Amino acid sequence: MTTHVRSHFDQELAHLSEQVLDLGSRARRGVAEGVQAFIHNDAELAREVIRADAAINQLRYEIEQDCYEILAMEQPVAGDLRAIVAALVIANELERIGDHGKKVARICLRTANDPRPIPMEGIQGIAELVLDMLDQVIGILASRDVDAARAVCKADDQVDAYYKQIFNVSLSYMLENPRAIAAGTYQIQVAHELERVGDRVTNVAERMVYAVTGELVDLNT
Amino acid sequence: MNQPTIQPTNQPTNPKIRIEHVSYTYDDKTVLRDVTLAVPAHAVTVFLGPAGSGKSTLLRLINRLNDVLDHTRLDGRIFLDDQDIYARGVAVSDLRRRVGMVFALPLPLPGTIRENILYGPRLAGLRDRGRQEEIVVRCLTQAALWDEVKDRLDSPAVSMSGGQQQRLCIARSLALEPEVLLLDEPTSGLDPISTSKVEESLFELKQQYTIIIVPHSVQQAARVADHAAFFLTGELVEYRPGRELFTAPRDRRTEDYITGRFG
Repeated sequence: MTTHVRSHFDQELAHLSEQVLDLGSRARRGVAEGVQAFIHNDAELAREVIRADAAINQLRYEIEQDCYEILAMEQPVAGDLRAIVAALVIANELERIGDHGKKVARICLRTANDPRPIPMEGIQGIAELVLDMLDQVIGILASRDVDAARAVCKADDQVDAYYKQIFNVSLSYMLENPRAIAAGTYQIQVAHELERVGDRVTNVAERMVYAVTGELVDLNT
Repeated sequence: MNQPTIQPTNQPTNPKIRIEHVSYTYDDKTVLRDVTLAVPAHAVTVFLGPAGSGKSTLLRLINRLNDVLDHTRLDGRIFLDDQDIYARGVAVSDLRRRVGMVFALPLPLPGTIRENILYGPRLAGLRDRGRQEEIVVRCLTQAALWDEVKDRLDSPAVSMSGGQQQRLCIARSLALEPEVLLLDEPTSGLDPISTSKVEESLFELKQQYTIIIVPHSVQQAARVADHAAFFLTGELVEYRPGRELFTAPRDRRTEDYITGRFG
Protein backbone atom coordinates (compact mmCIF):
# COMPACT_ATOMS: atom_id res chain seq x y z
CA MET A 1 0.00 0.00 0.00
CA THR A 2 2.80 2.37 0.92
CA THR A 3 4.04 4.33 -2.05
CA HIS A 4 6.72 6.92 -1.58
CA VAL A 5 5.65 10.00 -3.45
CA ARG A 6 7.76 12.70 -1.85
CA SER A 7 11.42 12.16 -2.58
CA HIS A 8 11.99 15.84 -3.41
CA PHE A 9 10.45 16.93 -0.13
CA ASP A 10 12.48 14.35 1.78
CA GLN A 11 15.63 15.72 0.14
CA GLU A 12 14.69 19.23 1.25
CA LEU A 13 14.15 18.05 4.82
CA ALA A 14 17.44 16.14 4.80
CA HIS A 15 19.28 19.22 3.51
CA LEU A 16 17.66 21.36 6.22
CA SER A 17 18.74 18.86 8.85
CA GLU A 18 22.33 18.89 7.55
CA GLN A 19 22.41 22.68 7.65
CA VAL A 20 21.18 22.73 11.26
CA LEU A 21 23.85 20.17 12.21
CA ASP A 22 26.49 22.30 10.48
CA LEU A 23 25.28 25.35 12.39
CA GLY A 24 25.43 23.39 15.64
CA SER A 25 29.04 22.30 15.13
CA ARG A 26 30.09 25.84 14.12
CA ALA A 27 28.40 27.31 17.21
CA ARG A 28 30.05 24.69 19.41
CA ARG A 29 33.41 25.57 17.92
CA GLY A 30 32.76 29.27 18.60
CA VAL A 31 32.10 28.58 22.27
CA ALA A 32 35.04 26.16 22.65
CA GLU A 33 37.53 28.49 20.98
CA GLY A 34 36.15 31.60 22.68
CA VAL A 35 36.73 29.98 26.08
CA GLN A 36 40.14 28.67 25.02
CA ALA A 37 41.13 32.16 23.88
CA PHE A 38 39.99 33.66 27.21
CA ILE A 39 41.71 31.03 29.36
CA HIS A 40 44.99 31.21 27.43
CA ASN A 41 44.75 34.92 26.67
CA ASP A 42 45.02 34.16 22.95
CA ALA A 43 44.03 37.34 21.12
CA GLU A 44 44.56 35.86 17.67
CA LEU A 45 42.18 32.97 18.40
CA ALA A 46 39.67 35.43 19.88
CA ARG A 47 39.73 37.48 16.66
CA GLU A 48 39.25 34.28 14.66
CA VAL A 49 36.13 33.41 16.73
CA ILE A 50 34.69 36.88 16.09
CA ARG A 51 35.36 36.59 12.34
CA ALA A 52 33.80 33.10 12.18
CA ASP A 53 30.61 34.35 13.81
CA ALA A 54 29.64 36.19 10.60
CA ALA A 55 29.44 32.84 8.78
CA ILE A 56 27.30 31.43 11.61
CA ASN A 57 24.87 34.32 11.25
CA GLN A 58 24.79 33.86 7.49
CA LEU A 59 24.07 30.14 7.79
CA ARG A 60 21.26 30.82 10.24
CA TYR A 61 19.63 33.22 7.71
CA GLU A 62 19.97 30.60 4.99
CA ILE A 63 18.23 28.03 7.19
CA GLU A 64 15.48 30.51 7.99
CA GLN A 65 15.00 31.30 4.31
CA ASP A 66 14.88 27.59 3.43
CA CYS A 67 12.26 27.04 6.13
CA TYR A 68 10.09 29.85 4.73
CA GLU A 69 10.38 28.38 1.24
CA ILE A 70 9.49 24.85 2.38
CA LEU A 71 6.53 26.18 4.37
CA ALA A 72 5.28 28.12 1.35
CA MET A 73 5.95 25.48 -1.29
CA GLU A 74 5.13 22.26 0.54
CA GLN A 75 2.53 23.46 3.08
CA PRO A 76 3.66 20.74 5.47
CA VAL A 77 1.57 19.22 8.24
CA ALA A 78 2.14 16.88 11.20
CA GLY A 79 5.73 15.66 11.73
CA ASP A 80 6.98 17.61 8.71
CA LEU A 81 5.51 20.84 10.03
CA ARG A 82 6.98 20.24 13.47
CA ALA A 83 10.40 19.43 11.99
CA ILE A 84 10.47 22.74 10.11
CA VAL A 85 9.16 24.88 12.96
CA ALA A 86 11.65 23.17 15.28
CA ALA A 87 14.47 23.84 12.78
CA LEU A 88 13.55 27.55 12.77
CA VAL A 89 13.66 27.80 16.55
CA ILE A 90 16.73 25.59 16.91
CA ALA A 91 18.66 27.58 14.28
CA ASN A 92 17.94 30.74 16.25
CA GLU A 93 19.16 29.14 19.49
CA LEU A 94 22.32 27.78 17.88
CA GLU A 95 23.13 31.14 16.35
CA ARG A 96 22.73 32.76 19.76
CA ILE A 97 25.01 30.08 21.25
CA GLY A 98 27.59 31.20 18.68
CA ASP A 99 27.03 34.78 19.89
CA HIS A 100 27.87 33.73 23.44
CA GLY A 101 31.17 32.33 22.15
CA LYS A 102 31.82 35.62 20.36
CA LYS A 103 31.08 37.61 23.52
CA VAL A 104 33.59 35.49 25.46
CA ALA A 105 36.13 36.19 22.70
CA ARG A 106 35.45 39.93 23.01
CA ILE A 107 35.99 39.78 26.78
CA CYS A 108 39.31 38.05 26.03
CA LEU A 109 40.40 40.96 23.79
CA ARG A 110 39.20 43.54 26.32
CA THR A 111 41.24 41.93 29.14
CA ALA A 112 44.34 40.97 27.13
CA ASN A 113 46.65 43.32 29.03
CA ASP A 114 45.07 42.98 32.50
CA PRO A 115 46.59 41.05 35.41
CA ARG A 116 44.97 37.65 36.06
CA PRO A 117 44.99 37.02 39.79
CA ILE A 118 42.08 34.52 39.76
CA PRO A 119 42.69 30.89 38.67
CA MET A 120 40.79 29.67 35.61
CA GLU A 121 39.71 26.27 36.99
CA GLY A 122 36.12 27.38 37.48
CA ILE A 123 35.80 28.66 33.90
CA GLN A 124 37.49 25.51 32.62
CA GLY A 125 35.02 23.36 34.58
CA ILE A 126 31.83 25.14 33.51
CA ALA A 127 33.08 25.23 29.90
CA GLU A 128 33.65 21.46 29.90
CA LEU A 129 30.14 20.89 31.21
CA VAL A 130 28.55 23.21 28.67
CA LEU A 131 30.55 21.80 25.75
CA ASP A 132 29.54 18.29 26.80
CA MET A 133 25.88 19.38 26.77
CA LEU A 134 26.41 20.92 23.33
CA ASP A 135 27.99 17.71 22.02
CA GLN A 136 25.05 15.73 23.34
CA VAL A 137 22.40 18.02 21.88
CA ILE A 138 24.12 18.06 18.47
CA GLY A 139 24.05 14.26 18.60
CA ILE A 140 20.35 14.42 19.45
CA LEU A 141 19.71 16.64 16.39
CA ALA A 142 20.85 13.67 14.32
CA SER A 143 19.50 10.79 16.42
CA ARG A 144 16.13 12.38 17.40
CA ASP A 145 16.48 10.51 20.70
CA VAL A 146 13.77 11.96 22.98
CA ASP A 147 15.05 10.29 26.16
CA ALA A 148 18.53 11.70 25.54
CA ALA A 149 16.96 15.12 24.94
CA ARG A 150 15.26 15.00 28.33
CA ALA A 151 18.46 13.76 29.99
CA VAL A 152 20.71 16.48 28.58
CA CYS A 153 18.59 19.13 30.27
CA LYS A 154 19.34 17.70 33.70
CA ALA A 155 22.98 18.72 33.26
CA ASP A 156 21.86 22.34 33.13
CA ASP A 157 21.33 22.27 36.91
CA GLN A 158 25.05 21.49 37.32
CA VAL A 159 25.91 24.38 35.03
CA ASP A 160 23.79 26.73 37.13
CA ALA A 161 25.47 25.45 40.30
CA TYR A 162 28.92 25.96 38.74
CA TYR A 163 27.98 29.51 37.78
CA LYS A 164 26.99 30.33 41.37
CA GLN A 165 30.25 28.85 42.59
CA ILE A 166 32.31 30.94 40.13
CA PHE A 167 30.34 34.01 41.21
CA ASN A 168 31.12 33.39 44.88
CA VAL A 169 34.78 32.57 44.30
CA SER A 170 35.25 35.68 42.14
CA LEU A 171 33.48 37.76 44.77
CA SER A 172 35.74 36.53 47.54
CA TYR A 173 38.85 37.37 45.45
CA MET A 174 37.47 40.84 44.81
CA LEU A 175 36.69 41.39 48.50
CA GLU A 176 40.21 40.43 49.48
CA ASN A 177 42.01 42.30 46.72
CA PRO A 178 40.66 45.40 44.98
CA ARG A 179 43.09 44.81 42.08
CA ALA A 180 41.19 41.58 41.34
CA ILE A 181 37.90 43.45 40.76
CA ALA A 182 38.28 43.76 36.96
CA ALA A 183 39.40 40.13 36.55
CA GLY A 184 36.61 38.90 38.86
CA THR A 185 33.97 40.87 37.00
CA TYR A 186 35.10 39.51 33.66
CA GLN A 187 35.18 35.94 34.95
CA ILE A 188 31.62 36.33 36.15
CA GLN A 189 30.68 37.72 32.72
CA VAL A 190 32.29 34.77 30.93
CA ALA A 191 30.63 32.31 33.31
CA HIS A 192 27.32 34.04 32.67
CA GLU A 193 27.73 33.65 28.91
CA LEU A 194 28.41 29.94 29.39
CA GLU A 195 25.48 29.55 31.76
CA ARG A 196 23.26 31.05 29.03
CA VAL A 197 24.63 28.48 26.57
CA GLY A 198 23.36 25.77 28.94
CA ASP A 199 19.89 27.37 28.92
CA ARG A 200 19.87 27.49 25.13
CA VAL A 201 20.92 23.85 24.90
CA THR A 202 17.81 22.96 26.91
CA ASN A 203 15.72 25.06 24.51
CA VAL A 204 17.14 23.08 21.60
CA ALA A 205 16.37 19.81 23.42
CA GLU A 206 12.80 20.97 24.09
CA ARG A 207 12.29 21.65 20.38
CA MET A 208 13.63 18.23 19.47
CA VAL A 209 11.11 16.66 21.86
CA TYR A 210 8.41 18.73 20.16
CA ALA A 211 9.58 17.78 16.67
CA VAL A 212 9.52 14.07 17.50
CA THR A 213 6.50 13.76 19.82
CA GLY A 214 4.37 16.87 19.25
CA GLU A 215 4.60 17.73 22.96
CA LEU A 216 5.68 21.22 23.94
CA VAL A 217 7.50 20.73 27.23
CA ASP A 218 9.51 22.94 29.56
CA LEU A 219 12.68 21.00 30.36
CA ASN A 220 14.42 23.94 32.00
CA THR A 221 12.82 23.79 35.42
CA MET B 1 -8.18 -8.88 9.22
CA ASN B 2 -8.57 -7.91 12.83
CA GLN B 3 -9.96 -4.37 12.87
CA PRO B 4 -10.31 -2.74 16.27
CA THR B 5 -13.09 -0.19 16.59
CA ILE B 6 -11.57 3.25 16.86
CA GLN B 7 -13.33 5.37 19.40
CA PRO B 8 -13.18 9.05 18.58
CA THR B 9 -11.25 10.96 21.18
CA ASN B 10 -13.47 14.00 20.87
CA GLN B 11 -16.94 12.61 21.48
CA PRO B 12 -18.99 15.79 21.62
CA THR B 13 -21.54 16.06 24.37
CA ASN B 14 -24.36 17.07 22.02
CA PRO B 15 -23.64 15.55 18.63
CA LYS B 16 -25.79 16.51 15.67
CA ILE B 17 -25.10 13.25 13.87
CA ARG B 18 -24.16 9.93 15.40
CA ILE B 19 -22.77 7.17 13.22
CA GLU B 20 -22.85 3.89 15.12
CA HIS B 21 -21.06 0.75 13.98
CA VAL B 22 -21.74 1.47 10.33
CA SER B 23 -20.50 -1.10 7.84
CA TYR B 24 -21.33 -0.94 4.18
CA THR B 25 -20.74 -3.43 1.43
CA TYR B 26 -21.22 -3.05 -2.27
CA ASP B 27 -21.21 -6.19 -4.38
CA ASP B 28 -19.53 -8.06 -1.50
CA LYS B 29 -16.80 -5.43 -1.35
CA THR B 30 -16.54 -3.86 2.10
CA VAL B 31 -16.47 -0.09 1.71
CA LEU B 32 -16.97 0.86 5.36
CA ARG B 33 -16.01 -1.26 8.34
CA ASP B 34 -17.65 -0.74 11.73
CA VAL B 35 -17.37 3.05 11.74
CA THR B 36 -18.48 4.87 14.87
CA LEU B 37 -18.20 8.61 15.23
CA ALA B 38 -20.19 11.58 16.42
CA VAL B 39 -20.36 14.81 14.43
CA PRO B 40 -20.71 17.91 16.61
CA ALA B 41 -23.21 20.65 15.80
CA HIS B 42 -22.09 24.07 14.58
CA ALA B 43 -18.64 22.96 13.53
CA VAL B 44 -16.84 21.86 10.38
CA THR B 45 -15.96 18.18 10.40
CA VAL B 46 -13.76 16.86 7.60
CA PHE B 47 -13.67 13.29 6.33
CA LEU B 48 -10.34 12.64 4.68
CA GLY B 49 -8.49 9.69 3.27
CA PRO B 50 -7.20 8.30 0.00
CA ALA B 51 -9.44 7.18 -2.86
CA GLY B 52 -11.42 4.13 -1.81
CA SER B 53 -11.21 4.93 1.90
CA GLY B 54 -15.00 5.16 2.24
CA LYS B 55 -15.22 8.85 3.13
CA SER B 56 -17.53 9.85 0.26
CA THR B 57 -19.66 6.75 0.78
CA LEU B 58 -20.19 7.72 4.41
CA LEU B 59 -21.09 11.27 3.35
CA ARG B 60 -23.64 9.89 0.89
CA LEU B 61 -25.09 7.52 3.48
CA ILE B 62 -25.86 10.50 5.73
CA ASN B 63 -28.08 11.83 2.93
CA ARG B 64 -29.38 8.34 1.96
CA LEU B 65 -28.04 8.85 -1.54
CA ASN B 66 -27.15 5.18 -1.88
CA ASP B 67 -30.70 3.95 -1.19
CA VAL B 68 -31.43 3.09 -4.80
CA LEU B 69 -28.24 1.12 -5.40
CA ASP B 70 -28.61 -2.64 -5.75
CA HIS B 71 -26.41 -5.30 -4.14
CA THR B 72 -25.52 -3.15 -1.16
CA ARG B 73 -25.82 -3.81 2.53
CA LEU B 74 -25.79 -1.30 5.36
CA ASP B 75 -25.24 -2.36 8.96
CA GLY B 76 -25.22 -0.09 11.95
CA ARG B 77 -27.23 3.08 12.46
CA ILE B 78 -27.01 6.76 11.63
CA PHE B 79 -28.83 9.26 13.82
CA LEU B 80 -29.69 12.86 13.02
CA ASP B 81 -30.31 14.36 16.44
CA ASP B 82 -31.91 11.29 17.98
CA GLN B 83 -33.72 10.12 14.88
CA ASP B 84 -32.49 6.99 13.10
CA ILE B 85 -32.47 8.22 9.50
CA TYR B 86 -32.86 4.69 8.13
CA ALA B 87 -35.78 3.83 10.41
CA ARG B 88 -39.07 2.84 8.84
CA GLY B 89 -41.34 5.78 8.27
CA VAL B 90 -38.57 8.33 7.72
CA ALA B 91 -39.29 10.11 4.44
CA VAL B 92 -36.12 10.64 2.42
CA SER B 93 -37.44 13.99 1.19
CA ASP B 94 -37.82 15.17 4.80
CA LEU B 95 -34.29 14.00 5.59
CA ARG B 96 -32.85 15.83 2.58
CA ARG B 97 -34.64 19.00 3.59
CA ARG B 98 -32.69 18.86 6.83
CA VAL B 99 -29.47 17.61 5.26
CA GLY B 100 -28.32 19.53 2.17
CA MET B 101 -25.59 18.34 -0.15
CA VAL B 102 -23.20 20.02 -2.55
CA PHE B 103 -21.12 18.05 -5.04
CA ALA B 104 -17.72 18.55 -6.63
CA LEU B 105 -19.09 19.72 -9.94
CA PRO B 106 -21.28 22.83 -9.73
CA LEU B 107 -24.65 22.02 -11.24
CA PRO B 108 -26.64 25.21 -11.72
CA LEU B 109 -30.22 24.59 -12.83
CA PRO B 110 -31.41 26.13 -16.08
CA GLY B 111 -32.78 29.57 -15.30
CA THR B 112 -31.65 32.69 -13.52
CA ILE B 113 -29.62 33.08 -10.36
CA ARG B 114 -32.79 34.01 -8.47
CA GLU B 115 -34.70 31.01 -9.87
CA ASN B 116 -31.92 28.68 -8.79
CA ILE B 117 -32.16 29.86 -5.19
CA LEU B 118 -35.95 29.75 -5.16
CA TYR B 119 -36.33 26.38 -6.88
CA GLY B 120 -36.61 24.45 -3.62
CA PRO B 121 -38.75 26.92 -1.67
CA ARG B 122 -41.19 27.29 -4.60
CA LEU B 123 -41.43 23.52 -4.93
CA ALA B 124 -42.22 23.47 -1.23
CA GLY B 125 -45.10 25.87 -1.91
CA LEU B 126 -43.66 29.25 -0.99
CA ARG B 127 -45.53 31.96 -2.90
CA ASP B 128 -44.92 35.07 -0.77
CA ARG B 129 -42.75 37.43 -2.86
CA GLY B 130 -41.37 39.28 0.12
CA ARG B 131 -40.35 36.04 1.81
CA GLN B 132 -38.80 34.83 -1.46
CA GLU B 133 -36.66 37.97 -1.67
CA GLU B 134 -35.54 37.50 1.90
CA ILE B 135 -34.40 33.97 1.09
CA VAL B 136 -32.48 35.09 -2.02
CA VAL B 137 -30.63 37.77 -0.05
CA ARG B 138 -29.95 35.53 2.95
CA CYS B 139 -28.68 32.54 0.97
CA LEU B 140 -26.47 34.52 -1.38
CA THR B 141 -25.05 36.48 1.54
CA GLN B 142 -24.33 33.33 3.55
CA ALA B 143 -22.59 31.77 0.56
CA ALA B 144 -20.43 34.92 0.14
CA LEU B 145 -21.92 35.62 -3.29
CA TRP B 146 -24.36 38.49 -2.72
CA ASP B 147 -21.99 41.37 -3.42
CA GLU B 148 -20.94 39.85 -6.74
CA VAL B 149 -24.39 39.09 -8.13
CA LYS B 150 -26.86 41.43 -6.42
CA ASP B 151 -27.15 43.56 -9.59
CA ARG B 152 -27.79 40.61 -11.91
CA LEU B 153 -30.09 38.23 -10.09
CA ASP B 154 -32.07 37.71 -13.28
CA SER B 155 -29.08 36.70 -15.39
CA PRO B 156 -28.73 33.05 -16.35
CA ALA B 157 -26.90 31.06 -13.69
CA VAL B 158 -24.72 29.44 -16.33
CA SER B 159 -23.25 32.88 -17.16
CA MET B 160 -21.45 32.88 -13.80
CA SER B 161 -17.85 31.79 -13.31
CA GLY B 162 -17.15 28.27 -11.99
CA GLY B 163 -16.41 29.57 -8.52
CA GLN B 164 -19.62 31.61 -8.48
CA GLN B 165 -21.61 28.63 -9.73
CA GLN B 166 -20.33 26.51 -6.87
CA ARG B 167 -21.20 29.17 -4.33
CA LEU B 168 -24.63 29.39 -6.00
CA CYS B 169 -25.04 25.65 -5.40
CA ILE B 170 -24.15 26.17 -1.74
CA ALA B 171 -26.61 29.09 -1.59
CA ARG B 172 -29.28 26.94 -3.23
CA SER B 173 -28.77 24.19 -0.69
CA LEU B 174 -29.27 26.76 2.10
CA ALA B 175 -32.62 27.96 0.75
CA LEU B 176 -34.62 25.25 2.53
CA GLU B 177 -32.81 26.04 5.77
CA PRO B 178 -31.21 22.64 6.29
CA GLU B 179 -29.56 21.82 9.60
CA VAL B 180 -26.65 19.93 8.08
CA LEU B 181 -24.61 20.71 4.98
CA LEU B 182 -22.62 17.93 3.29
CA LEU B 183 -19.93 19.07 0.88
CA ASP B 184 -18.16 16.55 -1.35
CA GLU B 185 -14.93 18.16 -2.63
CA PRO B 186 -16.80 21.42 -3.23
CA THR B 187 -13.76 23.31 -4.47
CA SER B 188 -11.97 20.65 -6.50
CA GLY B 189 -12.53 22.51 -9.77
CA LEU B 190 -12.07 26.03 -8.46
CA ASP B 191 -9.21 28.53 -8.64
CA PRO B 192 -7.49 29.60 -5.39
CA ILE B 193 -9.52 32.81 -4.99
CA SER B 194 -12.86 31.06 -5.44
CA THR B 195 -11.64 28.28 -3.15
CA SER B 196 -10.73 30.81 -0.53
CA LYS B 197 -14.19 32.44 -0.81
CA VAL B 198 -15.95 29.10 -0.39
CA GLU B 199 -13.75 28.25 2.61
CA GLU B 200 -14.37 31.69 4.07
CA SER B 201 -18.11 31.17 3.73
CA LEU B 202 -17.78 27.94 5.78
CA PHE B 203 -16.60 29.95 8.78
CA GLU B 204 -19.83 31.96 8.59
CA LEU B 205 -22.09 29.00 7.82
CA LYS B 206 -20.95 26.90 10.74
CA GLN B 207 -22.45 29.40 13.16
CA GLN B 208 -25.82 28.22 11.92
CA TYR B 209 -25.27 24.81 10.35
CA THR B 210 -23.46 21.56 11.00
CA ILE B 211 -21.00 21.02 8.17
CA ILE B 212 -19.28 17.88 6.95
CA ILE B 213 -16.82 18.29 4.12
CA VAL B 214 -14.74 15.87 2.10
CA PRO B 215 -11.89 18.23 1.22
CA HIS B 216 -9.99 18.10 -2.04
CA SER B 217 -6.60 18.36 -0.37
CA VAL B 218 -4.94 17.85 2.98
CA GLN B 219 -4.13 21.55 3.10
CA GLN B 220 -7.79 22.46 2.68
CA ALA B 221 -8.70 19.94 5.37
CA ALA B 222 -6.20 21.56 7.73
CA ARG B 223 -7.55 25.06 6.97
CA VAL B 224 -11.20 24.34 7.59
CA ALA B 225 -11.36 21.43 10.05
CA ASP B 226 -12.68 21.89 13.55
CA HIS B 227 -12.70 18.10 13.70
CA ALA B 228 -11.05 15.65 11.35
CA ALA B 229 -11.71 11.98 10.70
CA PHE B 230 -9.13 9.97 8.75
CA PHE B 231 -10.36 6.92 6.86
CA LEU B 232 -8.32 4.15 5.29
CA THR B 233 -9.76 1.19 3.40
CA GLY B 234 -13.14 1.68 5.03
CA GLU B 235 -11.82 1.96 8.55
CA LEU B 236 -11.93 5.07 10.75
CA VAL B 237 -8.30 5.33 11.79
CA GLU B 238 -8.27 8.54 13.79
CA TYR B 239 -10.82 11.18 14.73
CA ARG B 240 -9.69 14.24 16.63
CA PRO B 241 -9.84 18.03 16.71
CA GLY B 242 -8.33 19.29 13.46
CA ARG B 243 -5.64 21.34 15.13
CA GLU B 244 -4.35 18.17 16.81
CA LEU B 245 -4.67 15.82 13.86
CA PHE B 246 -2.77 18.15 11.55
CA THR B 247 0.03 19.03 13.96
CA ALA B 248 0.49 15.81 15.92
CA PRO B 249 -1.50 12.83 14.62
CA ARG B 250 -1.34 9.80 16.88
CA ASP B 251 -1.61 7.06 14.29
CA ARG B 252 1.31 6.38 11.98
CA ARG B 253 -1.07 5.78 9.06
CA THR B 254 -2.60 9.24 9.50
CA GLU B 255 0.88 10.79 9.63
CA ASP B 256 1.94 8.93 6.49
CA TYR B 257 -1.15 10.00 4.56
CA ILE B 258 -1.28 13.67 5.49
CA THR B 259 2.45 14.11 4.94
CA GLY B 260 2.14 12.51 1.50
CA ARG B 261 4.12 9.35 2.21
CA PHE B 262 1.47 7.42 0.39
CA GLY B 263 -1.41 8.50 -1.76
